[in-house]
Amino acid sequence: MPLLQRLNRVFNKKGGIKSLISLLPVISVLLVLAGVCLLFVLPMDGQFRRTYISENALLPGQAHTYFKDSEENILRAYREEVKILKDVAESERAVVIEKWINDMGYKAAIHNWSFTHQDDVKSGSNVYGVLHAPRGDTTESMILCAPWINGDNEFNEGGVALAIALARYFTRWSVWSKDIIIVIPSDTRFGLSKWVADYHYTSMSASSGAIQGGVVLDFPGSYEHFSRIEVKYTGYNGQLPNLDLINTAVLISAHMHLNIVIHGVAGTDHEYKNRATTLLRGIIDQSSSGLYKQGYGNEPFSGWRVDAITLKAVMDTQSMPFTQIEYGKLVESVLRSINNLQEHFHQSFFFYLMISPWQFVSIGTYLPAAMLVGASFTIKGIYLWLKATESASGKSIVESAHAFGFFVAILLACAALFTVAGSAPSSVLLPIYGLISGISVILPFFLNKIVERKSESYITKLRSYSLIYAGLVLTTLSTLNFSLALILGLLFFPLAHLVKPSKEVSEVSIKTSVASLVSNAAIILTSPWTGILLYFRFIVCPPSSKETVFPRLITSISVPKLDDFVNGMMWNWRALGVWSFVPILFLVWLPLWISAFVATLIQESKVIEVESVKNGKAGEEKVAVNSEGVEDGKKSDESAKD
Amino acid sequence: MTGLRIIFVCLVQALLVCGYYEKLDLRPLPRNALLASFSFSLSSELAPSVRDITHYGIFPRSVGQIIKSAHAHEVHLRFAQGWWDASEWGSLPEQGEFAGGTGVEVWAWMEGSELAEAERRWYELVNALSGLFCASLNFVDSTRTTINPLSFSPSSPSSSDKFLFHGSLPRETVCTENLTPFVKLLPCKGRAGISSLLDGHKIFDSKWQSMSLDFIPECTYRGCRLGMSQKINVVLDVLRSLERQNHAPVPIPRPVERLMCDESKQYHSSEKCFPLPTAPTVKYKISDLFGKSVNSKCALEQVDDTELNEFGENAGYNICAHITGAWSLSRQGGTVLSSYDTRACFSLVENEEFNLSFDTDNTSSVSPISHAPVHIQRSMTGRGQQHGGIQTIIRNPSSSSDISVIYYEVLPWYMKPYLSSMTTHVSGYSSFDPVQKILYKPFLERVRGTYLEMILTIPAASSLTISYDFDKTLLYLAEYPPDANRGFDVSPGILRVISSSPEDAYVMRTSSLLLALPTPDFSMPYNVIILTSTVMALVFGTVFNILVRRFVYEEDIEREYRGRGGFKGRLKELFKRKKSANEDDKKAKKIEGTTT
Amino acid sequence: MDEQKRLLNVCIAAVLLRAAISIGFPAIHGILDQRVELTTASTSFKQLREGLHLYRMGVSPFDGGVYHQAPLLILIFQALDGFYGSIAPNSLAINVVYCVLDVLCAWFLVQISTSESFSGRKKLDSWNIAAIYLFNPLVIATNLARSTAVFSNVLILAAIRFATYSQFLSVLFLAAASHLNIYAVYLVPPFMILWSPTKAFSNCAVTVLLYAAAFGGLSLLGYFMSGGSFQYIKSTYGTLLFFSDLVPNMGLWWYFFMEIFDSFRPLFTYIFQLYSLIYVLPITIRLQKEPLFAIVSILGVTLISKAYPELGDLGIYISLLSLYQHIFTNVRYALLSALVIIHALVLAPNFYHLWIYLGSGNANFFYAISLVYAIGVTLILTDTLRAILRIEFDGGEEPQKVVVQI
Repeated sequence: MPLLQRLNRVFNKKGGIKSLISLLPVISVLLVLAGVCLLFVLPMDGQFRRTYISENALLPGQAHTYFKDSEENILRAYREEVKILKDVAESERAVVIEKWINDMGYKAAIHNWSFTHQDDVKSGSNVYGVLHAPRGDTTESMILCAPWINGDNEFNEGGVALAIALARYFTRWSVWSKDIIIVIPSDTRFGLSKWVADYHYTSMSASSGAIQGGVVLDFPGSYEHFSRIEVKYTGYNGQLPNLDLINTAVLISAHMHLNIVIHGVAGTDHEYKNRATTLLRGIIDQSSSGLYKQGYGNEPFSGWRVDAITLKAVMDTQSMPFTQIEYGKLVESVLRSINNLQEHFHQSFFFYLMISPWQFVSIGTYLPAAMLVGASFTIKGIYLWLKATESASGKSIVESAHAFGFFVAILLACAALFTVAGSAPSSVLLPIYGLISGISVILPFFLNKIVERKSESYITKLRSYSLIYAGLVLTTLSTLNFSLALILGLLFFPLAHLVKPSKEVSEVSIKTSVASLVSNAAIILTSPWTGILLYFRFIVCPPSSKETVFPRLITSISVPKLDDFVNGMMWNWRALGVWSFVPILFLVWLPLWISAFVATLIQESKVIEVESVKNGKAGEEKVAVNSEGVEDGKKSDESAKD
Repeated sequence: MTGLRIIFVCLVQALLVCGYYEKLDLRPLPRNALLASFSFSLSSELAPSVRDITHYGIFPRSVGQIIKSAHAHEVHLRFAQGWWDASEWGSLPEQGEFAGGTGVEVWAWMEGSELAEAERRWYELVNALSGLFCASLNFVDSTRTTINPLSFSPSSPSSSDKFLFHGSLPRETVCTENLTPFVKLLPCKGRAGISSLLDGHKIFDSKWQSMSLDFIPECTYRGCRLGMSQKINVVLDVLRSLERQNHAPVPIPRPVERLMCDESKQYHSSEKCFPLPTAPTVKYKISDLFGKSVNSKCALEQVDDTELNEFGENAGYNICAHITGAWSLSRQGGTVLSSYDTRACFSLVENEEFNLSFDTDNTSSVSPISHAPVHIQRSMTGRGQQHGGIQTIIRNPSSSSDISVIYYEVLPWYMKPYLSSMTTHVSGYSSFDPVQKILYKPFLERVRGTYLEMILTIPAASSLTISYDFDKTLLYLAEYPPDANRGFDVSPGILRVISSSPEDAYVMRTSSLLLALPTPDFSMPYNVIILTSTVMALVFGTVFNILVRRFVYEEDIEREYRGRGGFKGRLKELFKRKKSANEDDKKAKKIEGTTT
Repeated sequence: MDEQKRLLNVCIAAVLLRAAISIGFPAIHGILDQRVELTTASTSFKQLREGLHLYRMGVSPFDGGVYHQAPLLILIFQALDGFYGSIAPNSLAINVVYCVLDVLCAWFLVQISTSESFSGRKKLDSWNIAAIYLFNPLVIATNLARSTAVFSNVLILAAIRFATYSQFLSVLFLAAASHLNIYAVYLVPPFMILWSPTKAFSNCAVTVLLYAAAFGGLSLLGYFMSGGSFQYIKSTYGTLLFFSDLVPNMGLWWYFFMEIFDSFRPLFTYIFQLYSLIYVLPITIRLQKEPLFAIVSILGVTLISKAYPELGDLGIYISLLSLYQHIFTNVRYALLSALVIIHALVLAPNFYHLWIYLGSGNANFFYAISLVYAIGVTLILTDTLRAILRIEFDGGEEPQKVVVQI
C-alpha cells in the first residue's frame, strides 16, 4: 500500500497525469478506429465459432415426418381456396378460415383489432385457432403463423395454404405436448403485433398457455417450388431469438438437403467476403428492423419472451429444385423439435451475430466493438471536462451548473419537439416534420444569443456534457441493440471529433479555416434531417439511373413516398413500440447535434471575449475563483449528477 | 355440496349390500369423440365400526390398513389429464364430482383430537398413498395443503373431531404407472370384466381422462363397512384410435382414393382434394378402441336384481351405450338387458368374450349433451418475470336464473397476490358486488401458500371477471426444480355451484397455470461468493485504511527520506517507526493485515 | 432576504414539479413502485396498501409474507384514509403528504446547514442545498414511487436538526425513525455525542433510556395491533434481519443469498449483518469532532451494507454531503465516482429489463451492475471521509500541501 502510494506520488510529480490527459483525444479517436477494425476482424478465421445445439431436448431432425403424398392434394386444394380468397374482404376471409380450422377440431376465433391515432385508423381482423394438445394441460403452446401479406408485400398464398394444411395434418398426431396455435393475421405489422399483445394482456375467447416458440410461414406467390429457404430472425429493436431455434431450422434443412441461407447471402461460408457480407447485412438488418415498414412476421414476437423465426421460401426462377411439401416437412420437423422442449428456450445465446447459417460470433467477441466506440465519446467528454476546469473561469461551480442547465434545457426542447411530432395527425405529419426541422435549425442561433457572452470553458463544458451523454446512451444501447449502437456511434463521430468550436480557433489561418470548413460540413451532414433525407433517397426508394445527377437527386424525391416513410416511422414507434428510431432521433441525435451546432456558432463573439479577457472582466472572475478554488469544479459534477 | 352428499348417498345405497359392481357407459360425442365411463364399486365386510374391520373380503386390504392406521375418515383421490372441451362435450360426467383437475388431487377427513394430530396423520396418509399409487403425493407438504376449505364437505355427517385436508399436485403427469395399481385394487385385477379393457396405451392416448378413487365409510344399524368407488372417464378420439389400430401409431397419409374430398369444388381432381370437415360415416368396435374385447365377466361380481335405476330397468348392467337412432349396434357375446333408441345395455357372461360394434352414417347425431351450468376460464396476464396478474372469467349461461358459486384457489407461496388490487366486474352491471363472502389467508414464505375462497353470485346471462395482481419472487438456488425454466405450475381453481337440488349441483376445475419465475444463473455460486466478498473486503479495507492511518505532509516524508539517505536508511527509519508507533499505527497495521 | 425568497421559490417549484408529474402521468406511481431499484420489501407502498387492506379485513397483516413494514405506518395511513377516504398513490391526500414530507426534509437540511456545527465554514447558499435535495432525480423518483422510506428519512433529518436544540425531541425522532427503519439504530452512537457533547455519563444514560423507552413504546403499538402478540416483530424486523423476502435490489445481499449453499445461509446472514454494524463505532470514534459527519458516513455505509437498500438512500446521502462544501477542496475522485454512479444508475434498469422482460440477459447482468454501484458509493464514501479527515489534520490551513497517509 505505501509503496503504491509512493509510486503514485512519483507519477504525479513527473506530471504523468498531465501527459495522460493531453493524450485523451487521440485515444478516443483511436478507440473508434479500433472498434471499426474489430468489426472487420470478426469474420476472420478463429474469431467466430461454429453453431451447435445446446438444448439437448430439441433433437432436431430426429422425428420422422409424414406430411407428404396425399397431404399434397389437400394442400393444393387449399391453395385454390386461398387464391379465391385473395380478392375477398379481410373480415369475410377470416370467417371462412375460422370455419375451416373449427372443423379440424381447433378452437377458432376471430380477433378484430384497430389502432387509432388522431385522424388515422388502422384496423383489420386476424383469425386464429388453438389445438389443445392431447398430452398437455394447456399450459404451453407453439405458434404456427402465416400472414396474408408477407414482408415484401406479396400475397402469401403458399404460406397460408401450407399453414392450414399443416394445421389439419397436425390433428392426426397424438404426440403434441404443447398446444398448437395457428394464426392467420391480416398483416405482419399491426395485426400480428396486436394479436400478440392481446394474447398476453387479455384473456381471449380461445386461449392457451405460455407460447414457447413459433414459426412464421412465408411462401409467396403461386409457385409450388422454391429455390432456397431464407431464415429471418431479427426482431424489433434488434431483439434476437434464441440461437438454438435458428440452429434447429438450419440443421433440419441440412438433413433434408434444403438450401438454407441468411441475409440473402447465397455463397459458401469458406470465403471471407461472404462472411463479411452476411455480418454487415446482419448489422444493417438489426439496426434498421421495424424502421418504417412491416417486418417478416417474426418481429412482433420479440420482446415477449417468445422465440420465433420466419422461414422465407425464395423463388428464383432459373432453378427451383425444392417442393412445397419439403417446405411443409421442414415446418413440421421444427415444430416437433419445439414440442420436445422440456423448458422454455434458455440455453445457448440471445446475443450473437451470424456470419453464415453455420457460424456465429458471440457477444464476448463482438461487444468490444460497440463498447470502444461508446467509450471514445465518454473519454472525449472527460477530456473536455478536464480541459474546461483547467481554465480560470472553468473552475466556477455556477458556470458548470449553468452549462448543465443549458444542456438539460436543450434536451427538454427536443423532448417538446418529440411530443409535438408524436401527437401530430398523420395527414399533416410531413409538414410538421418540416417545421420541426426548421425550428431545430433556427434554435441554435437563438441559443447562441444566450451563450455568446459566455467564456470558452462554458462551451467546452456544454460539449463535454453532451458527449458524456452520448457515451452513456451508446453504452446502454450496445447491450440492447448492438448494431444500432455501433451505427449511431459512427454517425456521431463527426459531432465529437470534427466539430471545432470556433473559439478554440484563436488566429485565422489556412489550417483553422479548413478546420471550420470541416466542422460546418460535419454539422450539415450529421443533422438528423439530412440523415432522414439521405436514408430515404438512397435506401427507401433508391434513385433510378437518370436521377443520379445532382439536382434531380433532390427534386425527384416523391413527396407521398416520403410522407409514407415518415408516417411509417411514427406508426411503428406508436403502435409497435419500436423505440430504436423516433425516440433516439429526438432524444439523442437531435440534442447532440444542436449542442454541437451551438458550439460552432460562437464565432462573432470571439473578439468580444478576447477583449473582455484583456480588460479585467475575467479578472474579477479570477478573484472569485481563487477564493473558491478547485473544489467548485469538483462540486459541479455533484450537481451534474443531480 | 348437498349435491355431492346426495350422490354419495346413492353410492351408499348401492354398497349396502356387500358386493362388487362394474359398469361401463359408452357415449359417442360430436366430432367422432367417445366418452367411456368405467365405474367400479365395492365394499368391505360388515363390522361394528370402521376401526374394527378385520375381514376386508374383496376390499383391498392394503388400502384398508392405510386408512385405518392413518385414522382417515374419508379419502378422495383424483388423477386427471387433458382438457375437457365443455363447448363440444357439455357438462362433465356425473356433474364433475369425480373429475379432477390437471395432475393429482387428494383430500381427506382426518380424525384427531386437535389439528396438529390430524395434520400429522394427514402426512402419514399421503405418504402411504404415494407409495401405493406410484404418485409423488409425498410432495404434498404444508405449502400445498389447505385445511378445512368450504368447497368440500364430508359425504357422511362430519363431527368436530374431523379435519379436512386438501392438497394437489398440478405438475404430476398421470400415466400407466398410476393406472396399474389402480387396476390392481379391483378384485379381478383387470383379467376379467370390463376392467380388462383398461390398457394404459389406449387410455392415455385420449383427449381427456380422469381417474377417481373414493373411500367412504358407511354405517347403519347393521354396522359399518368401508366402501370404495373407482371411476375412470375417458374421451377418446375415435378416428385417431382407429388409425392407430389399423397401422403404426403415426399419421401415414391416406391413399388418395381413401381421401374424403368435397367433389363439389370445381377444381376437384385426382391431385386436388378439399377435405370434408369430418367423416360422416364411421364403424368401430370396442376392441378397435381399447385394443381388445372384454374377455369375460368378473366372477366376483354379484348382480343384485332388486335395484332399479332411473329408467326403471335393472341397474345391474355391465355395459351401456348411449346413442341415437342414427346408430346401429351389434354385439358378440353377453346378454341384452334393454335396448332403446337412446340407450342399450348389456351384461357380460362368464367365460365369454364380449364385443360391441358401433356403426353410423351420421356421426354428428349424438345423444343430447347436457350443458354445464357455468363456464370458467382462468388465465395469466402481464409480461416479464417480476409482476403479473390473474384474470378469471366465470360465465353464467342460463338466461333466467342467477347462480351462486364457491370459487376456491390456492396459490404457491412464491406467488404474492395483492388482495387490495382485486377487482370484480360483472358484464352488463355497472355496480353489482358479486362477492358474498371472502376467505383469505395470506402466504407465508416457505410455510404455506395463499388460500383464497370466495362465495360469488353471478346474475343470469352475464359473466363475472375477477382480476388481481401478484408479484413473483426469487427462490434459493436449491429450491428451483431441475427444469426451472419451464416454470412452476399453479394448481387449478375449483368452482362449485351451490344448489339445493342434487341435479343442479356441479363442480369444475380451471386448467392449471404456468408461472415463469425469474431464475438465477445456476452455475454461479462460487463466482458470486467470491465477487461479492471481494467488493465487501474492498469497502472494508479502504474505509478502515482511511480511518486509522495518520496524515503526514508529503514533503516531510521526502525530507525524512532524503535525510535518512537512501534505501538502508529508509529501512532503519521504518524499523524505528514501528517501535515508536502510536495507537493508530498499530491498528492500521492490523487492518492492513486483515485486508490484504 | 433575497436568500429566503429564493429558498421559497425553490420549494414552490419542487412542489409544482411533483404535482405536475403526478397529475400528468397518474400511472407513474405504480410504475415506479414496481421498480426494484426504488422500492423494497421494507418500503413498498403497494405492500403497505395490501397490509392496510388485510388489517381492515381483520386478517393480521403480520401473519403472512406480504407486509414487512412497521405497524405505525398502517395506523398513519388508516388515519389518512379515514380522513380523506382514499390512499390511492395519486390521490390528493397522498400527494400533499409526500410533498410536505419532501419539503420538510429540505427545510431540515437548510436548518442543519445553519446550525453551529457549520458556523464559520464555507457552505452553499441554503437555496442551493434545498435545490440539490428537491431536484435530485433519485429523491423525486423515490417520492413519486411513494416509498415509505421518506418517512424514516424525514425523521432522521429531524433528529439531526433538533439534536443540538432539543435533545428530547431529537431522541424521540430517532426512536420513531428506528421503529420505521431498524437501521437507524446504527445512528445512536454518533447521536450520543451530539446529544451530550460533555460526554457526561448521566446524560448519556438518560438519553439512552429515553430512546429505549420511546422505541419500546412504539413496539408495543405493533403488539396491540397484531392482537397481543409479538408476531409482527418476526415479519417486520425478522425479514430485514434474516432476509427472508428474496427480491432483487441494488444491494449486495440478494444474489449472494440466492446462490449461497443452504447450510451456510445462517452463518452468512450473521456475517452480513455484522458487516453492516462493524463500521458504526470506528467511524464514530474517529469522527468525534465531527459527529454529524459520522452520521452521514454511517448512512453512506448502510447504503451498500443493508439488506434492502434503495436509491432514495443515495439521494439523502448526496444531499447531506452537499452541506459540506468546505471539504470539496480535498475531494479527489468526484468526476470518476460521478461517472461510475451515473452509469450504474442508467445500466441497472436496462440490465434488469434484459433479464426480466426480454429474457435475453440473465441475473448476472443486474448483479454486476449492483456491484459497480456499490463500488461507486464506496468511492464517494472514502473520498469524502478522507477529505474531512484531511481538513481535520491541519484545519485546512495549507490546502496546497500534498498530504499522505501512513
